[in-house]
Amino acid sequence: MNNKMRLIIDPKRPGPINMGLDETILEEVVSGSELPTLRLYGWSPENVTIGYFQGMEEEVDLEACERLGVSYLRRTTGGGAVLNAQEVTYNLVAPVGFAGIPKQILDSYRYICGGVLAGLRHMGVEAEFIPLNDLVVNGKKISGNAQTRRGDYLLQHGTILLQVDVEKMFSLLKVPAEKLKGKLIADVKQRVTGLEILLGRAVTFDETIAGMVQGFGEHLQVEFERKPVTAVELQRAQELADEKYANRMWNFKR
Amino acid sequence: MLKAKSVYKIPDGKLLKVFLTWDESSNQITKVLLQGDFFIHPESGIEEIEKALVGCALSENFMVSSIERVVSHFGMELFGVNSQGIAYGILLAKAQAEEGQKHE
Repeated sequence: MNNKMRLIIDPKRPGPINMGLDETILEEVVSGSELPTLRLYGWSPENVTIGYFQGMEEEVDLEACERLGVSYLRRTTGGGAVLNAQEVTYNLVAPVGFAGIPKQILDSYRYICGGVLAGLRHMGVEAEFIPLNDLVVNGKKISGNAQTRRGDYLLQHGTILLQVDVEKMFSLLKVPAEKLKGKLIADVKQRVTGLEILLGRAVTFDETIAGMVQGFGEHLQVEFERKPVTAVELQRAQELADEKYANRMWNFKR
Repeated sequence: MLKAKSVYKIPDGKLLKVFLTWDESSNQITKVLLQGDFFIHPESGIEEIEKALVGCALSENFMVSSIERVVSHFGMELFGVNSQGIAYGILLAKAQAEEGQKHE
């Protein structure tokens, strides 16, 4: 194993700081200040993220978010709207070529998702990669993933669902046609799953993180160097949170 | 100036939402906003695509070639969305608005 990778096991944090940290880590790895990094984290309070190309008011019931104390923000990555609640999220930042990460975007999605698949396998769940960006078990989605690039560096983040509260998800996320709501909830219930449903038992945040560390480590053949977020990174993440991810200009820009 | 919106699931792709403003007399786009759960690398490419469509005639061929020109110029990669899908979504918005007018 020649590839060293920084491993951050982070506490649950507010959405704007989480997205600020993902972006800060990309900046730090691009500048050469930090090793390629895998950060595993959670969300508190619960948070809705929309994809870069989505419209906030189109996708999110803002009143419901305020009422339920759920924050909302726009990601730097594309993809769909997500309620970040009972889940473990990963953020992997590395140059292409590191640990065998392909340059081609579709191939790199598949390759990095292989780490999640290996982690799930350790936890007793056999999932499969469905292009472009989903991991499913028996046709039900357990993980969504999204990637952005800065030159030859990539940031890929994604979720591993522990529990799914479909009713809550749909009270926060808007569906295309209001009258189809009942139908879609039934549909989505069939299409989304979580580790607790699949394993038929309570699954903790910590054991999921442990599974992912093992899975990514084996899949990427990297040697992890565990190191927390630095004070400098946290300060930069707070700046990005204030200027961008908690800022109306960014969140409502499309 | 007319305004319209469409929601279009691109075949084998993602959901595209189009917010279109066009000039009826010239049949040209005056403003377009493209939203959806697709991916474009780099992300700023979406603004270039939207800019390239302004002034473009509301014809599939014109729109597809305008999009493809700017995609290639900026070296963009599109996933879950493509030039045909965008052109179709725009024409769908216009057609739905015209259909709505007929029934008014």
